[in-house]
Amino acid sequence: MLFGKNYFEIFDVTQTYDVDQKGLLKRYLGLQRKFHPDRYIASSEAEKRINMQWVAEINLAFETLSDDLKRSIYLLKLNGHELEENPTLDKGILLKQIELREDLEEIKRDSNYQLALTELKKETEKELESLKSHLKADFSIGDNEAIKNLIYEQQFLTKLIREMELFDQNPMEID
Amino acid sequence: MALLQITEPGLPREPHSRKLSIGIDLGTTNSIVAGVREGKAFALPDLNGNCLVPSVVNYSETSVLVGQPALEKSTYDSLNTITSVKRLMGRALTDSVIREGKLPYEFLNESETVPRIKTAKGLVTPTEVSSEIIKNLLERATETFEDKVDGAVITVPAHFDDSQRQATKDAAKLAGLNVMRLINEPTAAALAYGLDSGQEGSVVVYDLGGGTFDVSLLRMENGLFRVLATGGDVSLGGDDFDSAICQWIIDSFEIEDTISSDERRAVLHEARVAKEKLVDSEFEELCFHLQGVDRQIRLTIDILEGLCAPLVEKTLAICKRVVNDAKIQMKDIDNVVLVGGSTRSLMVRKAAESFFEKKPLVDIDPEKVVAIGAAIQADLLIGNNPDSEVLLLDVLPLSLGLEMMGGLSEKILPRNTPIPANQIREFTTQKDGQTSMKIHVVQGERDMASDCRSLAEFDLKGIPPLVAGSARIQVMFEVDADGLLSVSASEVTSSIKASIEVKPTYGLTEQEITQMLASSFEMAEMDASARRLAEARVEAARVVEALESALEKDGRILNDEVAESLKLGLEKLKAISTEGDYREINAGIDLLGKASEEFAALRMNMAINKALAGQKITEIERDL
Repeated sequence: MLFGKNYFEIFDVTQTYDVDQKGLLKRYLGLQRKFHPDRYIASSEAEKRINMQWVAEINLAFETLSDDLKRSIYLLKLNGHELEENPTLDKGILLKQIELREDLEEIKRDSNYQLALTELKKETEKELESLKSHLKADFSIGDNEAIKNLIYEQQFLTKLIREMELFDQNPMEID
Repeated sequence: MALLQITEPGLPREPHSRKLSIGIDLGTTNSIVAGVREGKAFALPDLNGNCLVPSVVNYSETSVLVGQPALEKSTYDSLNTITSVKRLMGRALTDSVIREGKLPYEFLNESETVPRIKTAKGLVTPTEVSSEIIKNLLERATETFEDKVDGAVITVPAHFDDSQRQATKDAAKLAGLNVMRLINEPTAAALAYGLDSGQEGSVVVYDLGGGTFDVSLLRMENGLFRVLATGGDVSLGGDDFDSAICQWIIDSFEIEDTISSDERRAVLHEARVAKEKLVDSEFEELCFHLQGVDRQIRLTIDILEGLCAPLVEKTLAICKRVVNDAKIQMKDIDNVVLVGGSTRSLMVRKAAESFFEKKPLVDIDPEKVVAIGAAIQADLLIGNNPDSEVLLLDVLPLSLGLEMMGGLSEKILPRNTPIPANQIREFTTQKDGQTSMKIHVVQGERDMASDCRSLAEFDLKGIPPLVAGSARIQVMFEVDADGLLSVSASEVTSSIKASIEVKPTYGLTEQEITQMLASSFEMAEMDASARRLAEARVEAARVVEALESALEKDGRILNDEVAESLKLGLEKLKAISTEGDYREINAGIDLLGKASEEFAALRMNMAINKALAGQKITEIERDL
């Protein structure tokens, strides 16, 4: 925490899930302009050290708020709640996840995967988008249990998309 | 420590305080030094007008040759002529690049970490070889500007890992150069392009050099150059094209088992020459005299493209990943810039054009653009353009992680995290009464730590014996603006803080560097201690000046007692720096530095609080 300010306060944006991304970026870049270590080349070692820690903190704050998943986890934490390591998921959601995963595995086996993969990715991204509006609503009424469940879903879908991208970049190799 | 920037950027500077800075592109095949004169950055030529210095060093018993004269020796004195040393920087003897690289050198086998090459002049490390090249470039700058160089920016491949960056910085240190910043080659190129064209938006820099490949995706806006994502391969470049051609020739002649090291070098040389000529012609006839026999072979464009295609494909796969990582659509990319000597190849140009669906920009000489960008950044950092809006924001190229139980690597800082970056992770003990913990830091994207690059390994000792799971060990990763990592660990439940100093696995230790400096040829000629004394005095004067101006400006925020003790410290350091030896002066600098830490923190707090508050005011003003 920078001066006891949370990440939203650092950038002076409203503490909400639906954060103003444009304003966030603008303020982030404004702070970088003033405080980036390149502006402190001529400073003392002590000042450089402190400066670096600050800018690292500003970077971390920006990374957190500009990423949908990281932002929801962070906001949940500000509400005084944390995700569980091995949560029990709703049966319907679980089934849906298994189905999606099977779809992906099937596509991966197909040598002509490109079209189907793009389709599945689009579908998954749409799903993530709609999750966001649910998250926004539940954050505004402060239903932390509902939020948690949404974040578990968000985590799953984000990871799945990442996996699709990885496969698409390098169908033959893992790295 | 002039503290200039804390006040208001844009303070007028005295004209005589203009300082000399340079930018260095330390390439695998060629290196370039650039400077700024009358606001214009340019690559410095030699007397014949050549800006490129071949990155080749030849050692004989009595002399060290760098550049063209060294290159001329490479085919008949291959054991003592080190080429492409960049590929060895920060590498271990056990690395595949050395084991499988068919390098013509003899390595000292005992050293398990830093490779040591046997030459006529004795053993040399890649860092020392590289420092010879830097010295040569530095000399060129000193002669051109007839002045001493105050500071430099050196470029490194964006995909260089921590040990490779550290090795580069060490090489500069050995050459006696003050490195203000290491910047990434594609970022430097984007800077040169962006300022030259005034274009804004999203730009891809595709940088294929002699030995390395980088691709970075940046946003350019109002002087800000923000890297969104970067990717690359530090052992993929024009050298690999040459090797592929060379191997094809050797295989065609069926002489793999009998060819000598000098002959292989000769074939490789011809392969490169032919590759370069094939930009303007359909085929090349290559003639060799190998093992007493005259041989001839025809290399056509088709054969060349066939040999290089897998390498080009590899670069495109990396481009795809970078576009994904940047979370950007292909259609939103405004420009593609080609950088590096290997992008002169038509095949590479065509491949980049069809992949990005855009005609690539090649307006600035692809071989000089990186050095020019570095010179521009150096001129900014040294303070010659305090009003400039230009700022480079870069990212971590490769994930940093810790080895976990079962050998998995847990990513602490993922790739493409903006730097500087900090991250703290907490761990606990596995056994009752456990008093030490192994911490293994790795870099890379693979899941298993053993597949990643080992950066450092150490034991955190002095953990109080507690029940398993109740000790709290915090490991802190800090990456600075050069992309260099430092790691510290401590146990937090006890009052004992066991911090450790991380020894790089593959780098030179601080002690080794000091020793090399002391034993280097130049140091022997000069009086070493006189030089150290002079350096210490300059540093002391800098510290005194900075603290005095800080006290004058913000001294009021200190209570009288602290202010007095700082002033006293200042007087002491002043006295020591005229009377003491270099050790005493350096100790005095350290002491005053420590004493003024709190003041530094207060001042920085004030500055950032003001900035955070200032934001709000402008907001309100705008809303009104």
